[in-house]
Amino acid sequence: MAVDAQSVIGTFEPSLFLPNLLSRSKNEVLRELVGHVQSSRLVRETAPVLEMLKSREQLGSTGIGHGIAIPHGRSLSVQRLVAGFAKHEKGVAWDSPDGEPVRMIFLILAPPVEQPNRYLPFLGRIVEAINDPERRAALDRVSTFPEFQRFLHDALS
Amino acid sequence: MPSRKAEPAEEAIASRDPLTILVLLQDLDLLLRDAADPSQAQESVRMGFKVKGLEGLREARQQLAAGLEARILRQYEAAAKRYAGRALVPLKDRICLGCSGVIPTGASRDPHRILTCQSCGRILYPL
Repeated sequence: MAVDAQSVIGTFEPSLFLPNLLSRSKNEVLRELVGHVQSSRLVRETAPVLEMLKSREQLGSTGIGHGIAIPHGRSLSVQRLVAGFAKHEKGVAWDSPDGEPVRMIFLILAPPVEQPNRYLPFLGRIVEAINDPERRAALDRVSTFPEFQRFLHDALS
Repeated sequence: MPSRKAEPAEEAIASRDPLTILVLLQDLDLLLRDAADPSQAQESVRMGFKVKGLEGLREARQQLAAGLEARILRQYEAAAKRYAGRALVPLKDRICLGCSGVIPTGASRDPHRILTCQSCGRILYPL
């Protein structure tokens, strides 16, 4: 299923745009992100979501290099596709292939079943949006949610 | 003979209610199933993600399953087999979102009691 740029942009929650994460480790960052998901009432309960994200990291790092990680997964606690974007000024070790600390994080959560199934195509579009150095540099300069939306629009249109 | 001291992970699991353990178990089973599916794993790797730690997750799965009463685990596994891994489904406004069956008003919301849809046999997760 194709996921258009507007649909991608509309899936990101303004309340999950977090330009100044404070945590010092990967697990703490995941906990901090899920804490914001809880505050935004986007999931029924957060413990399973945090466990699922940690399990996904145990399966293999979601750090994809160039200072970017995309923690993602499905949980019954999630009622619809939810996405967020966060930045960490200093960077956090994420066991990425290039060993670079992660400073930009896309969080993607989905229910076990969706009609239509947008989860994997959505993930693919995010990877597509950051697949060249100029776009990554542009993303690094983003500091507000409207700027982030403009970045996605330019990268995906 | 002194009893074996529980590992921290086992203690954490034992302190959780059965419904939460079932949710964790289903989430983990779905992750394991996707990771073991060659086309999904290949797609993940193509996108730049690592997929390698299946054994560790299988051990975690065993620990979780051990935290459930045998009859609940049997019920979960039978429903998972019947419904392609989706043994648990949300319950919203007394409707089972697996089969649209209506759940009686008196049905319990106690997380220590497992609520089952009488129409389809799936385990219900109240939203």
